[in-house]
Amino acid sequence: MPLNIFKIASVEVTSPSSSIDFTSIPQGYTDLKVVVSGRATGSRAEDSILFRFNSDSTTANYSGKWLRGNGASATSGSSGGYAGAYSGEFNGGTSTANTFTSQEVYIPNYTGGTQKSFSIDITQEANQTTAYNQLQAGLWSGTSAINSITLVDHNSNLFATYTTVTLYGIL
Amino acid sequence: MAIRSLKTGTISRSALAGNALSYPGSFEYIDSVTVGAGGTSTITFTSIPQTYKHLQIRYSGFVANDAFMRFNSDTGANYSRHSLYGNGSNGSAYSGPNETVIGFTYTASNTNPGSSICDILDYTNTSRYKTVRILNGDDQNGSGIIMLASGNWRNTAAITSITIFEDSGVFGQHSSFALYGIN
Repeated sequence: MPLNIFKIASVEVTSPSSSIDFTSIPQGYTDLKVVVSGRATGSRAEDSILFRFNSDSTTANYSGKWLRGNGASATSGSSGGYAGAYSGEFNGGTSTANTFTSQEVYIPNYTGGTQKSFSIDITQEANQTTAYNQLQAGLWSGTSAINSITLVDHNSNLFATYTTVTLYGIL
Repeated sequence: MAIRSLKTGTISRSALAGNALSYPGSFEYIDSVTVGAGGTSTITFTSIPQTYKHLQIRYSGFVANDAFMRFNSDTGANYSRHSLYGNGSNGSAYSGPNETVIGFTYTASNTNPGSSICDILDYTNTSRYKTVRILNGDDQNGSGIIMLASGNWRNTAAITSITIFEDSGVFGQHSSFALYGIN
């Protein structure tokens, strides 16, 4: 059987929204992919978003490592202490107008009975010297199958109008 | 004939042996170019269908210098680009506001191919500028580059054409470019 990608659901924000939710995720695929084209409201140029699995907002259940470029240098670090999977920089309300971050989250073996690892590619573009490209490796310590994914803004801002998020199943 | 449920993703048991399984996936081929003898400096995808949600370009090829990308034949300083890259010894970053191009691939070689996967999300949305995300790399068994790059085209027009070009040389023979639409 050839590898293929199937759209499960898609959300486009039509008015600023505090969260984006995918629930009752089908359990018949091998992996999941979440593609985000988004921007936040508020007074920040660079914001960030969190992914939560199965409504889990327990800080201790998420960890990660990142590699980041800011247009000037490359740095690396650990992400932890967030109430969800931290997914890097995200165009905020004062970033270059009409410019949206492009992200892809890949979650292999999302129905397996072990902890869930995932990878994130993030590009936060802006017409200025500083903009971010980031690679993230993450871990959710939950051993249940993933049946829901929730996106929230880490700084309690809203997802801006025209933000789109699409969930794909992969065989 | 086995059927995959689009709602649950599960496969029903085949009732007829030998029947091929057919799935209406979300990833569809649009067009491709394979470079012939003598090479070419420019690849253009035109009349791009406006019926998908996202586009993806997959590239494998040979190029002696950096290559770039433009949309809808726009040659103005309407682009910005940034990248995170490593060369096997150091990690670095690049910044390029107000440029006339988006970076597509760094120099590879005319011997060992480099590759890129380029995602363009919401390419038909006329309320937003267009952001590009590119994962690119090549290894020359000595030198090489791994790069995550971004680009932004400050234009709300839907993307109808994509030009990829090498500004001081050519893409070598057997270089291949494939354009896909994603629903």
